Parts: sequence; C-alpha cells; structure tokens
Amino acid sequence: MTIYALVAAFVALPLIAFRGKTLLRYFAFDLATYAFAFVLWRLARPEETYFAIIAVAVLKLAAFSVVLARGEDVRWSATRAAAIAAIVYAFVIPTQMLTPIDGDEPFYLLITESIVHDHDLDLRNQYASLATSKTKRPDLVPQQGDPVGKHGEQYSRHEPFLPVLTIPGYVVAGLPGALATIALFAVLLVRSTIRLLEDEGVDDATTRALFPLFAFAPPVIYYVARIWPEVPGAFFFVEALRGVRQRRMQRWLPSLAALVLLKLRFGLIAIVLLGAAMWRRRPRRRDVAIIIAVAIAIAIIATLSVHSWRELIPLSPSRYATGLFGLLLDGSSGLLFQAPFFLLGIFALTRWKETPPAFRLGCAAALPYIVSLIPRSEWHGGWSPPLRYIVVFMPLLLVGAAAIYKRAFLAPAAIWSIGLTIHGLVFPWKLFHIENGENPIGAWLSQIYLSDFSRLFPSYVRVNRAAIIGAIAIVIAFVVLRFVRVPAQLVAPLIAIALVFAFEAGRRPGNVIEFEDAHVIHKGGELYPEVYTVARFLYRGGWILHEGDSVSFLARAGASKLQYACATPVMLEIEGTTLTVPPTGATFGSAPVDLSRTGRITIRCINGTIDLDRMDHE
Amino acid sequence: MIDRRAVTWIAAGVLSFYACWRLGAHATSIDRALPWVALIVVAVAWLGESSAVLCAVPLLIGCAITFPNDRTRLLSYGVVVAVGFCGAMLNVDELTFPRATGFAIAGTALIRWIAREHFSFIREAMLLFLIVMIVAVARRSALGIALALVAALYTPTIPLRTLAIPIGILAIAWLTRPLSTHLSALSTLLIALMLTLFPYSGILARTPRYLRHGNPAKDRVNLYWAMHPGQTQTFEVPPDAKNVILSLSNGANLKRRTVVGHLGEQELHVGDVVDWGFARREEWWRSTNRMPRHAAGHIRAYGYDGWVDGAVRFALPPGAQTIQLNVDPRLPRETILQVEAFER
Repeated sequence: MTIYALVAAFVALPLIAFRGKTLLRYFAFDLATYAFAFVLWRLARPEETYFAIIAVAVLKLAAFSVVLARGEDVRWSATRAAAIAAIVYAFVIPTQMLTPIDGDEPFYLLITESIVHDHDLDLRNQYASLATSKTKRPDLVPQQGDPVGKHGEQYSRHEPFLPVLTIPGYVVAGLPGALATIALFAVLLVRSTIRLLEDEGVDDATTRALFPLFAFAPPVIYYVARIWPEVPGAFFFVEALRGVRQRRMQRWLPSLAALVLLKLRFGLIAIVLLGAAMWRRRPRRRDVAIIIAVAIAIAIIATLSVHSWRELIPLSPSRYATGLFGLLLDGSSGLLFQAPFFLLGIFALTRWKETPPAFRLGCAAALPYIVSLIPRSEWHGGWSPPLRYIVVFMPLLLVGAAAIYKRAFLAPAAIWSIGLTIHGLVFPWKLFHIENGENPIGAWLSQIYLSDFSRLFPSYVRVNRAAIIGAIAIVIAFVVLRFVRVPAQLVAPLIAIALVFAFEAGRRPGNVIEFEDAHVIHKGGELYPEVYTVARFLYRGGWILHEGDSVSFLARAGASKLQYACATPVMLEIEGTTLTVPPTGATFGSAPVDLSRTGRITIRCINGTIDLDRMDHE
Repeated sequence: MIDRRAVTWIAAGVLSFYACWRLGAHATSIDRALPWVALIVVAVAWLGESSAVLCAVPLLIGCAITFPNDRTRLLSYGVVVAVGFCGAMLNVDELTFPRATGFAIAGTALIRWIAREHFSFIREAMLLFLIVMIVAVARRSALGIALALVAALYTPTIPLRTLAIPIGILAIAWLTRPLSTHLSALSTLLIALMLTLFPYSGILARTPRYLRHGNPAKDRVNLYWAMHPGQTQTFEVPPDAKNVILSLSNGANLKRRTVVGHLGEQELHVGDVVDWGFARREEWWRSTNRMPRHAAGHIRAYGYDGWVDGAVRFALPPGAQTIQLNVDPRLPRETILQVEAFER
C-alpha cells in the first residue's frame, strides 16, 4: 500500500512542476529508475525492507529535485512549491510515528487534550489517565520546574499556543491530526519562504535549486511532523520578516504576536523586528493602541512562564565560544554535520553587502536570540532532534545561501543531506541523542572497528581536541574563503583524502578514553547517569563497574591517568596487574596507570563498585 | 598555453587516486583496484564536465569504510559508479563523438579491465576498435554507448572467433540508428545495470543466474573425495548435515543430460552437476555446462576474470545416517565426480 502511494506521489510531483518534453523525458527516466531499483532489490535482497523503501523514495525525490533545478520546461511558483512539499510531508508523518512521540511533544499533546476534554490547562487528570492518552506515553510525569497552582493544579512549563493550534487536527484525527497540523505549518513555511526569496529578488533558477535543500533536508524535515514550536515559529518569523519588509502591519503584527505566543524565547527576535517596523513607519494612533494591547497580552503570558529575565544576564566568555562553535561544528548538534547546506548561509555573512536586505534584517533580529542561546548549557537543544533552537532561522540562512549560491559547490552538502534525511526518516528515534559527546555516525564506526572514531568529530558538549581544531579551522575558512575560491573539481578529492586520513587516525588508540563510549566493549556494568536522566549532559558521565565486570578498549602505552569515582577502595585488574584505588567520596578522583603496550586493554573490577569516567594519556 | 581547467581535472585525478591508494583496501581484487576505479570516475566527470560526479570518489571511500560485507560493499561501489557515470552522461549538452567514445572506453575499462590478471593487449585492442566503431555507427548516442558496453561485457575474446559478437552488435547499432536518439532512458538504464555489476562483470556475462540465485555453501564439513567412473562409495553423514556438495572435474564438455551416477536413489545428470571450473572465462565458451539451479559455488575472482565454481547442492534424505554415491562407468576416464563436502 505504501509503495503504491509512493508511486502515485512520484507521478503527481512532476505533473505539478514539469511540462512538455521535460515531463515526458522525466517520466521515461522515472520508469527506468523503477526498473533499476527493482533489479537492485532482487540482487541486494535487503533484509530491512523499510530502510530500502525509504532510501529509494528519498533518492527519487533527490532525482526529482535535480530535474526541478535544471529542467527546461518547469512551471514554478511558491504555491507549486507548497504543493510539492505537502505531498512529501504527507509521507513524513507516518515515518515519525514509528515510535511514541518524545521530548517536549507529549507534554504539548497533553495540554491539547486538556483543553479539548477539560477546557482548562490543569494536567492533573491527564497525568492520572495516561493509559487513555493519545500520547501513548504512560511513563510521563510532570517536567522539572513545571508550575503548580494555588490549589495544586499541575500546569505545564510550555506555552499553550501551540496546543491551541493543534486542536483542530487533534479533534479530527488524534495524534496523526496534530502532527498533520504541524506539517501544514511546514507547507505554509515553504510557501512563505519561497515568497520571501521572490520578494528579495532571488531568481527562479536559484530558488528551484535550493528549495529541496531547505524543505526536504535537515533540520526542517526533522521537525515537519513533530509537535514542537520550531516549524510554526519559522513560519511566523518569515511572515513577520516579509511584513516588516513590505511595511504591512496586518502581516507583521499578528505574526510577531503568534511568534512570541508560541515560545517566549522568540520574543527576543520579535523585539528587534518590532523596532524595525516602527522605525520604518510612523505609527498611527490606532496602530499604537493595537501594539500596546498585544504587548499587554504577551506580558501577562510572560508572567506565567517558568523563564526569567535573569536568563539574559551575560555568562562567561568561554560558554559563548562553546555554544557558538557548537552550533556551527558539533558532530551531534552542529550545522556542519547535521545540516551542512545551511553553513552557506553563515558564510554569506562574509559578503554582507551582497546579501538581500531581508537577510540583514533577519540577522539583526536573530542576534539577541543567538547571543542569549549560545552560553546556555542546552544550546544544542537537549533531548530533541538536532538544531532545535535554530530551526526558526533556517529560512533566513536560505536567503543568505541564495545570495552566494553561484559561488558555491553544493554537491557534497546535498549528498550528505540525502544521507541524513534517509537516516532521520528510517530511525526517527536516533534523532534524540543523549549528548554525551558522540554522534550516531561516530558511534556506528566505533562499533564496527571497536576503535574510537567519535573523537574525530568535534564535540562541544564534551569538548575534545577535534572541537578546538574545528573552531580554528572554521575561523580560517571564513577568512580564506572570502578571498580564495577552491576549484569545484578539487573539493570532492580533498574530502576523500580527509576521509582516508580520518579513517587512519580513527583506528589508532586515542589519548582520551571515555568509558561510556561505543568503542569500549562493556562486559557487565551500567551507564551512569542513565539514558533518560534530565539534562544528562550536565553530569560527568561514565560506566559503573561492579565486581566481575570489565571494560576493554584500545589504549596507548605509557603513563595515563584514570578518572573515577567510588565510595570504598576498589581493586582493579589492568593487564594482569592489580591496582587498588582509594575512595573519592562524592567527587571524582584520579589514579596513575602505566600501560606497557599499545593495544587492547582490559580493566576488570575485582571487588567493589566504581564509576569509570575516562582515562587520559599523559 | 596550459588550460587551467585541464590542470585542475588532472589534479583531481591525482588526488582521488592517492586517496584510494592511501586507503589501502585489499579485501577483494576490486578493493585493491579502487584507485583505478577512482581515476576512471574522474575521467568520466571530466567528460561530463560535472564536478558533482567527483563526489563518487569520497562515496567510494565511504563504502569501503562502512560496509564490511563484501557483497554489500561491491554492490555499493557499483551503484556509486553507475550513478556517477549516468549523471555525467546526462549532464553533457551534446554527446560528441570524442565524448561518446570516452564514455564507452571508460565503461569498458570498468567492465573489462579493472582487477584483471590475465590480459591480452592485442585481443583487447581489437575489441576496443570494434567498440569505438559501434559508438560511431550509433550516431554518438546513449544507445551507442550502451551497445558498446554490451559488446564489452559479452565478448570473452577467447576464442578469437567470439569477436563476431561485437561485429553482430555493430550491425544492430547500424540498424537501430533511427531509434538511437529516442531510447536514451532505456539505454541509460542498461548502462546503469551493467556498471552497477562491474565488480561482478565476469559473472554477469557468463553465469548471471548466480547473482540472483547463487547461495554459496558456508557451513561445510569438507570431504574432498574424488570418485572415478565405476567407483561406488558410502559416506557417513555428519550430524545436522542437510546437503551434499558435488562437482565434476574434466566434465565441462560432457553433453547435457549425460548420466553421471547415482546419489542414493537419485540419478545424477550433467546439468544437475557441472564441472568445477566451467565458468572460467577461458573455459566457458567451449563448455557445454550452464549454471545449475542449486548452485553452491563460491565467487573465485572479481571483475571480468570473475567466476563462480561449479559446486552444486543436493539435499540429503531426512535423517539419513549414510549416503551411497556411485559414478557411471560409461563416463570418460578422466572425468571425476568430486564429493566436496557436506553442508549443515
């Protein structure tokens, strides 16, 4: 059934956009790709059918996108783009329902249920009857810091505007209806973004080339069928930006209001846009009255929020650097590895004067939000798909990317994005990462080769050497690429060489062994803290060994320092010699270890219980 | 005057070759030939004037790193190369004769020359001349390239008279000239399929059935027992054994349906059991054997020298403790029935 629906969708997509010879030629090649896929299917005999179907569908979508970008007889408009997106997103919804909704999603849905069934925001009875909830999450408990009313009412920390928006969808079809509502906002986001590009004078050819990388690639594709305020927020942001640029109050005012109502943090964006709107237009008395009314309504809601203005007070400079480079480069949560195309939008900053006015205005609006986000410990989004907090700016980065598109070579980013999209649709649960400094591909390679590949990916959650090198490299890249253009023919071979050297380095033992990582062979013991610990990234994690448990890993010969915690003296066996480590109490301590050879080392716990954090080679 | 773009393409080729050489993949002969595959990819990208096609090089390296299973890895090499090749072909505005010839030669190199151990320059040169002729006759179209690659795939050049195959294809190219510009999707599909299987091109050309139905016997209890005509032998069946693996030696030229002997009550014929090495490139054309239905052979080489041994799986009666085999005395003296192994 799914396959028939997919085939029908792939017939509909070209009918929307192509005409004449382009359409006929596309259909001829479309049939050829089905034949090719069929033969491959028979030859490869895939064990995971679902994976194969999704991979073929995404690759066909990529092929469609190539023709969309380069075809001669193409009909194109924002509405056609929205229609294409609507068809694709209809297939994304079921992929995200393979596992129960996660992160903040079930809490938003609980609020929707409360509004629909009880006409209030008190979630006590929702928590009491989780078995009948459409969240399918009987394990839910109120989140840390959720407000409690005078009479014991249990409220959610989340703003109720998103649940209100999802009410129609929820009433019609329950959870799929709520997800479809978000997908509808994603369709509107696509339409608005294309209109924004048109407004800013970006030519059709560029828009058609970049549209799939925006609409069908991470991070937007990760959020189009998830009950998170990011996609509706992005839509309202674009509409507000367009409204301010067009000086149309009836567009920007409701959009700004909706943006702030969705999430209070978006207020930092709204303040700048409001200022810009006021600067450009002498407000009439009626306008001022409307603005004041909206501001009062928002202020009332703000007082109910769990957030405080104190969160905006500047923190230490190193935390700003960590968050900033993390958003750009982190293996698990940064643009480079999770949405590389949008780095082009960042590079557009180096050609500020050539960028469209909407980009410059949007960047100014984004600045207070980014400055307040990056020093926070949860800059990476916490328990959510990657890039959560900056999804709202993806239309902005698209505008920036469009400005320098013709200077760029996008093929590697596009191919990587195809892989990410397939991964995100097949394994939606893997989009939620425990933020322990690893990322899915690093952990996967570590498991294959039993060597620490994760250390090759920059991590700003658990800052590693790759993070420092990466930060220096991107600063140099920013400066150099402003003046030097690397020939497109050399980009892919240079990536190939980098891959090979990284592969060689990955198979060698690292200087730091993190005992919870995937490359360590764990025989017994358990992860500490456990996976679902709230804000787990704030803890100094590790692997707990009890008597008889062991860990095995590749290590370098020579002096190392074992970082650990234990309550009583613990005897360890390392390479046939015993080591008794003293208790550390409630903190972590270190013990010297001298390894006689480079290679696979086993640490066995002879008696007691110990939390092994990491081992540093000296 | 040096063309800067040409220098950049050459630099891309050198860097790609170096990257794959440095990787040092050596699990199969195709892995060992990866630098040459990368070089061909760069040549194809240059022909198609598409830098995007060069992304095939890091993808090849990615496949080498991430797929430890030989079959998955080699198929993924094939898919990457095929998509790159077809992408480059579709990227060109006009398929001029030099370009079409370049594509045909690059495809031939992938199908025939990668990972070759036995190489006859004269025979290959003769075939290459005919391949270029096919491209020229077929009006430099995708169909011409597809026909050229079909000729490259299905011409073993041993014996030399098999050069009649490309000559026949040349005639087809001439006859289909009016259609040549209308069949680009079909031609591209054909090219993609052949190139996807370039690591198995020898097997695709001679025993394609194996690629779909072949199931190499893995959990084997080896016997390696040779039985001459007229000989009878009883074997103890190991516990849990389900099949016995048989093949012939010096049986490549026996007529089909010739009685070979008996396995218990079952009569064995040529066709059910075949010569162990019949699928070798130098044997295949002369051999009367064809890949049997229950092939249990292993892939013995890759690329155009690739072949599958002729081991065949026969089911044992359920619960059998012993099994009797005899060889028909009327078989030629040099023919041997090889009882290779039991399979659990």
